[in-house]
Amino acid sequence: MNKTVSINLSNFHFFIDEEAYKKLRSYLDRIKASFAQEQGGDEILQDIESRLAELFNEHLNDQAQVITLKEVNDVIVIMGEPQEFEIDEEPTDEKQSKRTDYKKLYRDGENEYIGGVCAGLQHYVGINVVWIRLIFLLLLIPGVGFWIYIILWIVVPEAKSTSQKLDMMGKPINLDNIEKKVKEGFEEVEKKVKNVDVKEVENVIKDKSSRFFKSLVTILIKVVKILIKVLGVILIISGASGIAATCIGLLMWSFLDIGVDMAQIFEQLGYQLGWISIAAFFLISVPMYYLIHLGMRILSRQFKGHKWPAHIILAILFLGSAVFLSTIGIRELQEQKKVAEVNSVELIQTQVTDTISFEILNNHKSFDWNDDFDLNFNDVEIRIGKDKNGFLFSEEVKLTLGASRNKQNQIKIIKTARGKNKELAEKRAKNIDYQLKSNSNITLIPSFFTSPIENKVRGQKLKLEIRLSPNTYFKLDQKVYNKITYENRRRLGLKRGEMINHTLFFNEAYELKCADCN
Amino acid sequence: MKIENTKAQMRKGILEYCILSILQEHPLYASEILAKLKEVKLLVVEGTLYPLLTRLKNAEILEYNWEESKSGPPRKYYNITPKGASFLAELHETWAELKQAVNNVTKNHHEQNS
Repeated sequence: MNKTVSINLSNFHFFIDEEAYKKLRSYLDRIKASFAQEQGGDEILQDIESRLAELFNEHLNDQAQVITLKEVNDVIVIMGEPQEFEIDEEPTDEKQSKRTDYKKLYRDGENEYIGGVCAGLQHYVGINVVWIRLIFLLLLIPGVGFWIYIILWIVVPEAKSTSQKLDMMGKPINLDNIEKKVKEGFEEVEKKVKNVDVKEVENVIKDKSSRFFKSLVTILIKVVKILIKVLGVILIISGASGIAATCIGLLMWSFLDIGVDMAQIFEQLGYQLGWISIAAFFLISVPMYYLIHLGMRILSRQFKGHKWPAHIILAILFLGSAVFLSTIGIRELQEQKKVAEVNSVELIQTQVTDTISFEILNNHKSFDWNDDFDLNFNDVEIRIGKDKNGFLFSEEVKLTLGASRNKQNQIKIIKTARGKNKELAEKRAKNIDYQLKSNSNITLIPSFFTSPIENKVRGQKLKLEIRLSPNTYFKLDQKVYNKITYENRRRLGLKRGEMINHTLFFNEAYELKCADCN
Repeated sequence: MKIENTKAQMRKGILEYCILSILQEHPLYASEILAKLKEVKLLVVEGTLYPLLTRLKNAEILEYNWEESKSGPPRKYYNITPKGASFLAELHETWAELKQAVNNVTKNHHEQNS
């Protein structure tokens, strides 16, 4: 079933089927193009149209019959292609040789299978199109050929005008060509008569596969276009939400009322919260802004964005923020350069017969602080007391247990901190507040230490070394056990199940023994 | 020198001369001119005629009149202008001379060869 178009050719009315109409249309366009430069070109076209009408009338049995591709082809053979009309200007020898010697590469839309690339190459290279198509098919296997074909399709123009077609074929414009064409035409007619069915079938297949490939490519292009738009939307959404999140985050810092003056806390730590917030804002939101920008560009080609001064200002803000924040970072690192330890030793006063109990003083619940606020840097936290002043707080208290070699029961407190130089580090270590407490035979070990906020978070740590003389009995509870380093536990052979809350002692060989274990 | 050039130039001149000769007796429209030219196998594609007619008209060698037709739209009947008539007379002379010259040359040539 074919669609039929109704046309008016020089005041004659015809029905023509769609394929035939396309062919006729392009034929008339070619004639029009070839006479476009000429005086009276329109008149020539009108005369030719009226002759075409006459020829169609001769070829059709009655007026109601539909013009098919066959009639159009027959009429074109009679009338000839526009380049065959020319016997007019005498071509100079140079022009001739130029036309003959230099072929140009065009896509051949008349003999196309997919895009006319192979057929165009056939004219250019002079190899039968079948071989070229075969080569492309072989190249298609590793996928290289596909891209070469696509590139050639895009790069090589289709031969549309008459002179381009001649350039493609590499034939000169003259009367001799007309003869050739006519001879070819006769041969073609002969061939057509001989294998009418084969040709027909081939054409149908060719047409269908060509259409299939064309629509496949159209669909692919559409899919890619849609994906690009989706990408644009994603960019805009992520950019916008990035900026929104930054704003909300920074506003929370400034406006969320937790009864704490953040700016003051930061100032005590040596930072200016305001500037850091602004720098952080630009550092995050400038790239986010450009994500949105990119997304808009993808969605709409008209979107131009700002002029260059705006871009420069944004770039300066971004770079300035980056430099500012990295300076702070570098300063932080420098202040962590040196480590210092401060030791002090406390003796445990006991009678020889007593059993010393070690217990953890877990009284930070009794500590008066704001529970809403907790700024945690690894092991050291910043906390706010009820007096609204900040202080440093850490549970980084480690215990080791061992036999004393100097017959004294003692606890060595080792405070560690970092600083720009040894002196500063030592000063910080000294500023760690830690007090052991004892209650008759019970030694209370606080589970945490504190330090004034001015000391800043500088890797503060605390280590307790409990050294007990041989044959001194002692007890450990579960919490104390938890504070003992893993390595120390292993070395002593301290086992949770058997030894917690039992009476323990070191023998003369400095080995840990249990006095009342089963 | 290309043989195609020579042939084209010869054909071009002869085609114009023949069209004018055909129109000498009475006005004709394009299809009738085509029929006559095809009879003598001077034309291979019909398209060649139309630009030629238009150019001859533009050169004021031909003119046309619209005449009603029984079987369709009006037709352009081409006619020779006075200027065309004198042009044709010149062509007649030239052709006669050429024919004589060519005949003599080719005849002598053939005789020499044989």
